[in-house]
Amino acid sequence: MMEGLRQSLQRFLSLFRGARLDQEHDAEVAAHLDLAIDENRKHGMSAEEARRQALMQLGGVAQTKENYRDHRGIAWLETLFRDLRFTLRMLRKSPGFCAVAILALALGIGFSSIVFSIFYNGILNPFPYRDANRLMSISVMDDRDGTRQFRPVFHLDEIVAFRKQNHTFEDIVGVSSWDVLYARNGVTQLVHGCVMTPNGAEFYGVPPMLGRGLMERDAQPGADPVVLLGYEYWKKEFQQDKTVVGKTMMIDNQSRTVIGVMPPRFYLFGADFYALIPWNRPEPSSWADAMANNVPYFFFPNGILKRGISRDTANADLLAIAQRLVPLHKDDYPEKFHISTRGFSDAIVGDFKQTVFLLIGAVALLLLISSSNVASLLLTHHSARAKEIALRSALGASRSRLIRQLLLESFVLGAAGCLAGSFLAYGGLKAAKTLDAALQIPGESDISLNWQVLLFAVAVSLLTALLFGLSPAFFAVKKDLRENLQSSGVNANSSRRGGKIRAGLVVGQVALSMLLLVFAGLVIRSFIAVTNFDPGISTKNMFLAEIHFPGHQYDSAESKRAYFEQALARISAIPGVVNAATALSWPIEGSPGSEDVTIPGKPHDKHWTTSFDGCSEGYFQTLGLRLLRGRLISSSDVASGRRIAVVNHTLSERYFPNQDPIGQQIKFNVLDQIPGAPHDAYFEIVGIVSDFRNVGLQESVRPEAFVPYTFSGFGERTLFVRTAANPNLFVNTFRQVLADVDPNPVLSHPDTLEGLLHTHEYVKPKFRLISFGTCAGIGLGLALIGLFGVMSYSVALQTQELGVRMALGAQCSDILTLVLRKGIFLVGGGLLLGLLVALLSVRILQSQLWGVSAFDPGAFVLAPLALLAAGLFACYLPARRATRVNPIVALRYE
Amino acid sequence: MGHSKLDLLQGTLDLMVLQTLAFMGSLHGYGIARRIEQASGDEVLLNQGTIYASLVRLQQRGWISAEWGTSDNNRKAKFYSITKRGRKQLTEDAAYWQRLSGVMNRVLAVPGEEA
Repeated sequence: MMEGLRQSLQRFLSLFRGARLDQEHDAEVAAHLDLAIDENRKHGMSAEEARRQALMQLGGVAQTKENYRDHRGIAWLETLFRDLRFTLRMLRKSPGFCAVAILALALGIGFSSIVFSIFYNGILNPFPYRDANRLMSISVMDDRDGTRQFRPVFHLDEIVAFRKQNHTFEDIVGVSSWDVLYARNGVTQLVHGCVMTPNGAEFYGVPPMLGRGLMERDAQPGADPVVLLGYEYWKKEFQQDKTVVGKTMMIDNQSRTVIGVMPPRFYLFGADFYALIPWNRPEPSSWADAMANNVPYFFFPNGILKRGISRDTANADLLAIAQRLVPLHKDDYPEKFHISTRGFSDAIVGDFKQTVFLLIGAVALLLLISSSNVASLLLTHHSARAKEIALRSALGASRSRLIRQLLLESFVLGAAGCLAGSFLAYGGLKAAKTLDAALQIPGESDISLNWQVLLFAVAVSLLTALLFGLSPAFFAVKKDLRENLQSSGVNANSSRRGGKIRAGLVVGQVALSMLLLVFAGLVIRSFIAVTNFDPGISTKNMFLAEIHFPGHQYDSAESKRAYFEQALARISAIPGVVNAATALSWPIEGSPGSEDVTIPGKPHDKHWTTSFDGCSEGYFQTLGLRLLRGRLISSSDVASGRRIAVVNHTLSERYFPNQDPIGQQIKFNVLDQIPGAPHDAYFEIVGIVSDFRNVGLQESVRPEAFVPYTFSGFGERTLFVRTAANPNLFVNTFRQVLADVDPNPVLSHPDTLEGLLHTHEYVKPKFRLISFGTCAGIGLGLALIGLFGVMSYSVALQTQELGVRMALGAQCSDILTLVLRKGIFLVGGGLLLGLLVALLSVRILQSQLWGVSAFDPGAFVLAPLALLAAGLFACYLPARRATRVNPIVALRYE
Repeated sequence: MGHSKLDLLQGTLDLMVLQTLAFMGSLHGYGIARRIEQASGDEVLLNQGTIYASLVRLQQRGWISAEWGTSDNNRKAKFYSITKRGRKQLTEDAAYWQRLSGVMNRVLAVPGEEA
């Protein structure tokens, strides 16, 4: 055992000092011969005879050395090294072939590694948290009409109950976002905080990057108030200053000591800072109370499921607890409900998964194209070496040895492709980083070229090397080798079968790239449809921002009116401002929730809901909504807080079909729950305005009503400004003008409507456009290279034949037709095959498309036309070369 | 047919080399080959070259060691000698061969059926 090991080690080591050992052995053998000759001479032989006898006794110098080497090292490994050296020499001789093959492989491997990294690091393993695969979010589901999410958030006392009474979770934590004002260097800004229940300190199991983490004792009464910074905020606000630890920050009028900074991948809520909130904090009496005091009202629960417990078991466990909680929070549970736990990543990643799965399919096709491309290159390469292979076989190389050597060539190409592809993936992933946030990839994820991705790249290159190398190698060696030795130069007959395989491979490549092109075409059409879609609001030069009021200031309707009258007037007076308005919420994205309405004289069984907004009189003009009937909100309505409402077209159609809604009454039930808002109040409908998309671009318009913003003084407000030039140029002016009115309210999240739409609506279609488009582009490029290669090769084979034809009087055009006919056959065959597959499979893309049918004629006509044109061009170049064949030279060939 | 030489059985050459070195002390490759030929009464068919495969094998196992030195007639040559572990191995292997040859003798001594 020991000896065996020792011997193996010695053998292995000897691989690396072969030269020295060889030298030593040469000397030893020479000494042996000398000794033998000496002895033979002593027996009276002649010098020559003595040497002859000595050699005979030894059994040959070469044999001795070979035998010695076999026993010294690991024979097959040495052969491998020798083959490798030979292969590298062979490949160096055809740099063009190598370059194209490595490029094709690098594109295939690189692109698939990028997609794998997005899949693995963004979807499969995005979270750095402890037991991330058992990390769950919890929601109440409404079972009244079908099942939909009712709320993913809970009161703190509910979370306490879940935590204490459950039998299925290791621990449950409550997390809430907490936006507060923070003043530094005389500038007040809104910071996005995240508060956690005291167990949150340990729950996520991520240590801080700097300083110390939060500890349970930080939440105890009398403990020094502390705060832990998020990485991005630390980078942005403190320029990564390490001395910030230990300093204090005035957050929400309380001085807090900075205790540390979290690492970049701790991205819970994407918060600027983290703090703890005690279990027994005073519960706000209502949502409005919490808003007024700026304390968190609802918390998102995160739980770590116990090992071996299914989600169903956990759901049932929590449901039993929730049922006991219903009497305490009657309004927060629908009549019929259940509790649902979802994996953390399911809850966050959402429908982006679908895109990535389809993308995986697309890169698989791309890999197939690139390997078949290299396969046909290898076939050509091997046939050019047919004579050499035959000669080697004739000299005694076994079939398996030859195949092994040709396969080694594929693996060398694969390794080079893997290396180049990894560099490509590295660059691509850097570029993809900028896309993360809006793509629903969790901020925690680290989409980079980590070892798992590199392992994938290596595995894929091994697999493709086998895929593209095996059959050409067998094919090259299988042929009747004598034929190759006898023929002179490239033989048309012996290459015919190879030609058929190559043609088949090219047809396959064209078909696959056709498929990718159709997919890309659809995605492009969808992108155009989304970006050109008219949301009902003119998006050009529309500035939006939130105005955040400090606690207990501007609480009343009257104070809000006083503020906005001044603010809007001053902003409107800025040169370049067309008009300005305020409302409660953002348009298109983030409309207020849909709330129950009561309309007198209109009983109904189903819930009638509507979105609801409080607007200034300039709202409709600023957004560019058209008045359809009646009148708009006037400044006197605003001044007196009159109970009138303007409704959108959808509301009037849905709740007042065949009836004039003007003069009718409507009650917004949600107001009854807001202190300071008019309770039990009916609003008279005075006008109808055109619709705009109020739940994102892709969902149909919800009923919506607009009332004067002075109905209540409650909450934050939104500022809308239509400018005559790029709104981003105005931000500082707006800030200044608002500070002149009152420096305390803070302008936050300034954006443009185009920017908002880009973040919420265009980013995903754009990602699809780029990813599928790149895929299809590379696929097409590779297929064209393949096509070009096959056509060039077949023209080269036909040189003699073409020469004869031309000598017999064929015109250039005849030759062109002859060659192009073959090309058209290849392109057309692939094209039809690809179209057929596309028609059968395109339905799977449906979920990724919007505003365009999966069978969109544009994509199905344009893509094949583009492919046809490009394909014919790739065929035309070799065909034109064929017409330039000089008959005399061609005939002299043989 | 005349008297043909014996082919070496697998593994026997290593044993012969060990035995030779144990008996003779330090010796070079040619010397070992000659010694085995003489000791066998020129009965074995030995390509002297194969001795080197055996020597590298034994050396890698740590049963013999090698050193460059000078022969009686002033030639530089590589001299091999048996190690302590080699001696132990030799005892084991020799015992094994003796048992085997004893068994072979007994088996062959039993009169078989002649066809």
